[in-house]
Amino acid sequence: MSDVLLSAEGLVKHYAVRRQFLGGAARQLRAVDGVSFTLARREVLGVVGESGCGKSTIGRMLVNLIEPTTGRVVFDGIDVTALDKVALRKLRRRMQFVFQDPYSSLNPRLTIERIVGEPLQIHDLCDAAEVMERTAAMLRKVGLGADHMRRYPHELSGGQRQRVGIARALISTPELVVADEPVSALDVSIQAQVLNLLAELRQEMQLSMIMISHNMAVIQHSCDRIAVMYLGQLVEIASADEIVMAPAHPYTAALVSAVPVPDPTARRQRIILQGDVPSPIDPPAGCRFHTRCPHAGIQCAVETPGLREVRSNHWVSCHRSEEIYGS
Amino acid sequence: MLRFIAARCAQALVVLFGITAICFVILHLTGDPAALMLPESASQKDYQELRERMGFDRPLPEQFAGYMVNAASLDFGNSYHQHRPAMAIVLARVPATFELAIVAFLIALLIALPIGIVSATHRNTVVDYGAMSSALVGQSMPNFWLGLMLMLVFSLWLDLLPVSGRLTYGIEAQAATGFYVFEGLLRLNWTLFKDASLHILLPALTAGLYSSARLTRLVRSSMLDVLGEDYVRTARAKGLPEWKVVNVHALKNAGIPLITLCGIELGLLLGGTVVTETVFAWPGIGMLTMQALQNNDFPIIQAAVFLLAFIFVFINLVVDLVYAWLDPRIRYG
Amino acid sequence: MAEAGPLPFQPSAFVEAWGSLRRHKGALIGAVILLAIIVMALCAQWIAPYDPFAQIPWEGRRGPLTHFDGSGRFVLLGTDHLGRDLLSRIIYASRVTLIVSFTAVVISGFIGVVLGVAAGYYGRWVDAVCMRLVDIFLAFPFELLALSVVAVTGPSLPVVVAVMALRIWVVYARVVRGATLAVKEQDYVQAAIALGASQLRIVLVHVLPNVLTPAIVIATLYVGRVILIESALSFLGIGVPASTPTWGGILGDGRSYLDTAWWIAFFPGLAIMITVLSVNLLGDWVRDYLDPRIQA
Repeated sequence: MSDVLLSAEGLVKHYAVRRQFLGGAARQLRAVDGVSFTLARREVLGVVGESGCGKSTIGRMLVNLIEPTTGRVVFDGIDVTALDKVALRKLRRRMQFVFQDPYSSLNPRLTIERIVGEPLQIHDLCDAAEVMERTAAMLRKVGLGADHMRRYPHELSGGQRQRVGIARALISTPELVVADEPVSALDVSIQAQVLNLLAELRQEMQLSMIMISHNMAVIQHSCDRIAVMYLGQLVEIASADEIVMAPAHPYTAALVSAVPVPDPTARRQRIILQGDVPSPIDPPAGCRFHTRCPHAGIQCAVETPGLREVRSNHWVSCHRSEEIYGS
Repeated sequence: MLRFIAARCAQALVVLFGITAICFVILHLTGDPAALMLPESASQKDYQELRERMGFDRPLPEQFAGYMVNAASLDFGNSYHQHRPAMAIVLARVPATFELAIVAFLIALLIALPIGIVSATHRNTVVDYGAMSSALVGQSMPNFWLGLMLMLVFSLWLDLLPVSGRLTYGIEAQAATGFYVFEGLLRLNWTLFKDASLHILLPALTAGLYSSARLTRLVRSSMLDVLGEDYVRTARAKGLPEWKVVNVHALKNAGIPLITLCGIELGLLLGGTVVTETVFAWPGIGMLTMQALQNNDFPIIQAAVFLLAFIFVFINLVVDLVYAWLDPRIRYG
Repeated sequence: MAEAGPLPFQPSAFVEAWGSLRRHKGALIGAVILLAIIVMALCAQWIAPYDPFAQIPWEGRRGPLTHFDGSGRFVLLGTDHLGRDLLSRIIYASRVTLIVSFTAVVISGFIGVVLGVAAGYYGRWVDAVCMRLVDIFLAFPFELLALSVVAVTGPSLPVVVAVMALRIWVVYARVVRGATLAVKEQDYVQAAIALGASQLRIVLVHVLPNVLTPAIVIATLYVGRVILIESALSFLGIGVPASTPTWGGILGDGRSYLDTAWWIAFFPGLAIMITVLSVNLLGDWVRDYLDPRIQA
């Protein structure tokens, strides 16, 4: 049994932009432009980047909610993108998704009991009598009591709904969970609770997880490895410690520098990037980050850097990484 | 914009095709138009002759193709009863129905706009409740019943208004277009105008009842939506007098969706005049069709259906285009 | 867009609904009247004072509150041109009205919801075909549609119901399609896909319950209209066959006697108006009740 659970290979997602009515070739919105990475078993990989960098699209492509334009996803040796519908549905039991918006991710017409119990019914995992028991047990695990089973989503708070979403994702004992901004829609005080819950459950159920967020602080706290995305491409991927202590890409450095530190005496050098994020319809030539990079050189505007291993298991997409940050 | 127009026109054509096809299907539904046309006493030979003459003995697809081609050139054959081209007979009745629908629509607007606006601006007052209750009752009444009752009171009991028809016997209808009321007005022919108006009053009220009630409610809710919008509050905050706020700012924006609805109402009115025409013996398309029904005169029925459908589709097309012109979001959406 | 909680016709919602109804005076009156009419229709045989089909021509065209020495009848609303008791006829006629309108609304609702969901959920050519069908049916001038069918088949009850159902399903379809499109984008539908649910399950469990509310709203709007249309058809003689008493039909009879026996035309029309008014009052309340439950 290989150690790699999930492998994303050359994922690309382009959306055709509505043509202006007076002709002109259809332009492409390059949401994701060639992303590859692997996930080991029981590992937590964080995918971080600003809004519009394509991280949510990646997340949905991993569970085939969105079909990649090109590229493939291999889960436990099985090519997910090539599966037929029936086989895909069966495979879904093993890879689950937690949604960002606790308000729209639960069917308002169903009771909590039915929502959480649905995966058991879909995959015929146990007989009818057991469904209620297992649902109640799962709800207890996420911190909700049995009296919540009869309620409807609109009677619960945001944090409670997110817990329901997590319960629903975990009740079929998947091996992989992709969490898309699991706490972004919650109050800050609740965020920590839900993150801790995820960590606990992960330990207990031996899950592999991919966590997507725009908030570096969240990712830093919860993940083993971190992948940084910018404008549809991976710019850096390494262990969490290395990303935080020794980032090798200017963009990562800027993101890390913005994370608040609870020590009022610590002096922080916040790197503030100039300019706006370019449009994904018309990304800059060469290195996509070069328009905002404080270290941009001539080569950066012309040639696209690929991902290269600058240190052990630390990959960066930058021409001048060694120059700026040393090895 | 051009692409949008082309697309909408193509859509309209598809719809017309579909309608004509349905007409054809209905015609052949019980299998035998020829049998329906002949009296009981007809012989087998008469039957065969009729079939040949009408072309009913040819294979169905051929009949269908022929039918569609004819329909495209507005040829629905001759009326079985009058032996003249059916479409020509139907077209001759168009002015009467049109005039009725248009006057009904105008009356409906005349009632709905002021009442609707006043209701909206005086929300939850006695005026509002009174207006809305009346509108509700108006939508609950069968319009032919109202027509009969009005006829009973004003024509039979009080003798104020004529009972039926478009003009009193003996008055000359010097109107080239067939629109007696409007031409009377335009030509300053007061005798014609007065007579035609008196005759059209009750039928128009009857035909327009449902529309006026519905439009009143719609105007009110549309205005209420708009009056609650931020830009209206801004206008008030700027210190604009209330009437200007209502008329200039609110009305214009409430107007856009209303125009679409008005177009649809007009279309509905045109199709729905059968009952009114029957009650008041108004010589329009509806009454013609009812008579054709008694006589099993299919060409007339088909021609009438096609014409009315055509008008309805046309009005919808125009409304859509106007809407798109007014609201740029639609064109590019 | 989401309404929340159980659907209005599920038992857990009844208590709350009843409370709201009691507060809304107009709707309460409407509900009571409608209930009375339904009871009247169901118990017509026992409530009607006299035989609605018994023709006594020499007692015809007599006004309300007339007592006949001959047949011993005391007619509350008068007699029609053939001497039949108007009140009894009106009571019997309520059955036809209710059956026809209820059936037409339910059938058209079924067709409209199915097609609307199909168009919204499956999209592309299914959608295109459905929408063209909708356009075609919308453009067909309704009364003439009825006329053409009747011209061929003759008046009959099933034909009337079918014609009306055909006319109305389009409204359901359009509204349900719009609702389906909105629901399709919601995360809970994506979640169901991610869970591995089959298409059928997604449509039945996730999409359908969330688009039914607009369909119910449409139904309440159209029951009244259907009653009016049916009575118009019967009035013209192309609706239900004349052997069965209908309000529209009685009205039609009364038309020829407007000057001599206006009550023949007056009372059935009044009955129609009261019925439709109650339905509309109740419908207004149903719509108001369902609306605030948006984003509870």
